[in-house]
Amino acid sequence: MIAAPGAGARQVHAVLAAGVENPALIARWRAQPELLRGHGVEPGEVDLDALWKFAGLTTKVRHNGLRDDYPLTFRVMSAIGIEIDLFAAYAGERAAAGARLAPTTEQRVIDLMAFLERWLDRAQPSHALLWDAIRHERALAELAKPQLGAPEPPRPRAPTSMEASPAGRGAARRSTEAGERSFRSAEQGARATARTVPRVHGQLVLHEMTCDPRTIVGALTTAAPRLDQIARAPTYLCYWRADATPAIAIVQLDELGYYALSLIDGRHSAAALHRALGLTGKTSAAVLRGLEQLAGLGIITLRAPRAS
Amino acid sequence: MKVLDTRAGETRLGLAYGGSVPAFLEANPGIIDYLELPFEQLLHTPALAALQDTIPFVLHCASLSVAGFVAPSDTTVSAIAREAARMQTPWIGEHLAFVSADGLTEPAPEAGAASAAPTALTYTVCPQLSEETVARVADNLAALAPRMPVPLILENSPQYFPVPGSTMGMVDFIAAVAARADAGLLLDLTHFLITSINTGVDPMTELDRMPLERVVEIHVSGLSQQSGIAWDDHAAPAPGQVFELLARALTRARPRAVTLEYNWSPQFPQAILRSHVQRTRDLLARAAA
Repeated sequence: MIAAPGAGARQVHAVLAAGVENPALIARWRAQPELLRGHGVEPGEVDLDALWKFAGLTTKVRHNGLRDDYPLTFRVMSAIGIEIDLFAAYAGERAAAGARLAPTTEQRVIDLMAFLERWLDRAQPSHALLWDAIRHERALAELAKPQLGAPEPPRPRAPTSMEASPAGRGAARRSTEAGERSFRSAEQGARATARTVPRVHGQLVLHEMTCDPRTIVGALTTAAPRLDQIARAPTYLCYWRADATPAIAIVQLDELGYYALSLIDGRHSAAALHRALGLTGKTSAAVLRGLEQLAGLGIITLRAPRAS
Repeated sequence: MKVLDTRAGETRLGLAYGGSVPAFLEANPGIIDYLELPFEQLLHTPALAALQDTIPFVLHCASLSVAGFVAPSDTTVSAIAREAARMQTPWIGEHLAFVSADGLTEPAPEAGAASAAPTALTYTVCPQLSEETVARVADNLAALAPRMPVPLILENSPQYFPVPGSTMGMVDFIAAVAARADAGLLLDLTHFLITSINTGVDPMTELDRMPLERVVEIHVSGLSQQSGIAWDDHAAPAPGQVFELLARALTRARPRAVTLEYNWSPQFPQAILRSHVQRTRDLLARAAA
């Protein structure tokens, strides 16, 4: 490496720092290399691609505060070797928009997820896996937050797993994990009719995943993770926290149950849900049984219609 | 308050403070000798100072921009000196790098036009490796050292790309700085390996050329290789190659401390941490035998 005339350390440092701080400049220098000459640095001497990636590293490090609640997400990013490119693209996008990183961890997650939703190519299995992981952890983090006006609950235990098959493939199954009792419902044996109005009990987050994100954790515990061996299939998950309990349950639903639950608003009847699901005719037994199962788990309550 | 005793000649073993550390210390009392605390983290979370009731601290720093041309503020320098005195750190480890630089206006300003405000970064950057920077580091240290209650030691940067205008490699740069400034070194073996990978040199050969007699502290951490470049990664365990470099360094160096830096992830696996502490202790014992 031979010093070029004018490539003084002071100017070089100024150029590198400016590029790291504002990767939009790197993009501009790529398009107009002669701009660098104006700053006393020969364009051919600066590896702009590497500088762009370095800006990604610095941005990644500035997101270390997220690792507490998003360990799986970061481990997936690392395992699929995407951290640097991802954070470089993110740094570039924010710089181009003139946006600084948010001052709070909460807002940084929201901003990062908004970027990922645009940037990830979810047709790529590895990208889809990352999108599953971050939504999984976001759902858990959201539900763990204290509810407005309520005293802060103790830190939730590990989520409890449940399965529900509201379309009538059999009774809902509960896991035997600790915390199960927290979810026992007062509505065991509740009956739904077409006029019943279901209402969500507690807080819900619903996600359609490409796998069960809990299986990613297992895959990552091996020395050489084989993420390509994770079983992939549409997986409908309901993250649920009942009112006034710190425990969070993850309920696996079938497709009909997932969409039915997403439509429950406490105002519309089972018959209206049936129609909203695109079904015709009499309110189907599958929908009614599904609602009863969700009520049995305690996720919804079934309210009889008011007498007119 | 606990204070690290480094006079006995024995190499102490510590951990960089991170989210996984409190649980690790609780589960493994007495397993390490000290915690390395970054000044910037203490500034952000002053309550961490209370940890020194149970374990000694060594102060680390990334704010002095010793290889830079924009001096840190007087307030920052005073605060670092105050913190060093308060915690009775045996030295202050600082990056041989810059963290602030002259501001840049785009397009370049006309001669005589007002320049932009300095650019202040949150992450240190490898400087130009040149005589000009060597002289600058020496000048900066000459100005800073009298203000500090303990010596400043210099940590080698990881080099991710060729720095324009550089006229020497990393080892020659470090050696020139150490000689000219008569400074002690903080040898970050992972940074050293990263630089070797990214610049295409053999790390063992380069290590043999290092002025290891000046090494006061050694850092060990992880790295990752992504997008064609090796990167610093304190969330990953150090690869075997870093321990091989440690073993080699210990044949000539007698550091007063070795710090494992696994401080980016609060979920860093405790079993790996324990095994790396043991592996390092074994290497230190072998070197001392």
